[in-house]
Amino acid sequence: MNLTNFVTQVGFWASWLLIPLIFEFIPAMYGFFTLQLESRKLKRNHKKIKKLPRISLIIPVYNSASTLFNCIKSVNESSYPNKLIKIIIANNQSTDQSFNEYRRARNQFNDLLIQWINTTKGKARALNSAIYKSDGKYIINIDSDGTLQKEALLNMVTNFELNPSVDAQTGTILTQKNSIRTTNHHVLKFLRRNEYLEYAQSFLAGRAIESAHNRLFTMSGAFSAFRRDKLLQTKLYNIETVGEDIDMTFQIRYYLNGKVMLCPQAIFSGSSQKVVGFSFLILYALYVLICFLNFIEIQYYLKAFPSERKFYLSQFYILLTLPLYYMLCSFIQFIGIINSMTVTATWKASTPREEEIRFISIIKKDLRRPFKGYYDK
Amino acid sequence: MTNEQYTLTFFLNAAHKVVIDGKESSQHPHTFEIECDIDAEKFTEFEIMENNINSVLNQLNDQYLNDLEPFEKQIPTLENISRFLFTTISSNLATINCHLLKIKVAESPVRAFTIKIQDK
Repeated sequence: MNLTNFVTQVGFWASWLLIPLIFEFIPAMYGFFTLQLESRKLKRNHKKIKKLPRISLIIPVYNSASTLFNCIKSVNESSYPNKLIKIIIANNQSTDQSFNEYRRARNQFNDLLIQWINTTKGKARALNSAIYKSDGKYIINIDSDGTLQKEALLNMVTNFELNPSVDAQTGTILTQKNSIRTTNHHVLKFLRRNEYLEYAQSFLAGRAIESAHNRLFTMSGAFSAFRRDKLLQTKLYNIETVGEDIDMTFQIRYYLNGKVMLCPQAIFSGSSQKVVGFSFLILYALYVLICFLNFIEIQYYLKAFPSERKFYLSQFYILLTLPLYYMLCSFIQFIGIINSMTVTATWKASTPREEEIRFISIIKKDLRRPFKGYYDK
Repeated sequence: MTNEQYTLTFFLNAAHKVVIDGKESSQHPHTFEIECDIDAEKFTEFEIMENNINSVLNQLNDQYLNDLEPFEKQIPTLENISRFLFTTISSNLATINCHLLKIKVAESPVRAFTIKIQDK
């Protein structure tokens, strides 16, 4: 029984099961087994390097007074020897007490070389300026709002030294365990736990698979590392895009034909995405507000029917969950749309083979598009 | 005999398009590093010199250089940008009794162009 027959027989309802199966489940199974092999290699590779090189650590800073000290402290406490680290704080127009926090760190960790430079506003500009001041064999940048795990730098450098073909690495970003533990609010705690798992999955499953096939789409802007000689062959960070980390990954992989990897043993604990959570709440509140406005308007129409209006008004508290109900409905509608699409598809004259050829040619064309022009120079 | 001078470093973010042997590049941005060696007639605070030079650099910051007046008649190559900066910064520094001895303009940590005053 071939695939076409199978699909026809199971009927259109199976199509919405088939899509997740093809695009989610099969790649996930494939990834699972690939990662099993990869993680075994990891244990075997764990060797020690005799002579560690000097590294430059860039920390771009923009109003980071509340986190900068702890960030530098985590570098001081890391297992990488302080005398081999040069930290460059690239301040891009902070208006808070960041400079005082830098001074406090300098006074306290006096065997750590820390340099402060001022740059124009923007992360990519700050990074580029700091790269001029970086003379270590490896140039590593981390965000100022998180902390490095103790072994992160050592593991990353070891990985570079053992794999000469690797030009750049991204660290693994997880959210802070402590901030989850100390969260009292139940809903927020629940969201943060989800966020933690989301990060773990996105780095240690998603990026790990991409990395195993040298297909990493983006290094994390929060923790990336480069061989200096390779980084200096790029056009540095692109200051005209917000996706400067994606652009850099592409420059190394396509423009320089280099290799970019994930370093699963280098963990950086970043801060939670309060902003995203907060904006989601605002968005929800806006939907409730819209429902509320409709609610007021509707009761004018019902004036002629007192008993109906009375019942209607008594249901006011449902407004709070109404947007959720809409979401549920649209999800069901979405599935309905997919089903109806498969029904019309059976009316079309083209055979499944023709559809397949057309589909593949469109995908191929689309995939080539982004790399045309820009990297042809 | 000793020789004393100040060295100040600045960063400039700007985009340009260059034409070399009739071949046109695409418009692309750089973070330039600009290093100035300065001779001051008398003690001058860093901030005064920095503000003086920044007032020149700010005219170029975040601009598409090909559109600016100084580059109407010449292509903003690294060499021409350096020449323009050398002349403009020199005359601007003269207003605070300072002299530009040398300027080094880098478009990347491994690519730079230097202009300096010949030793007397």
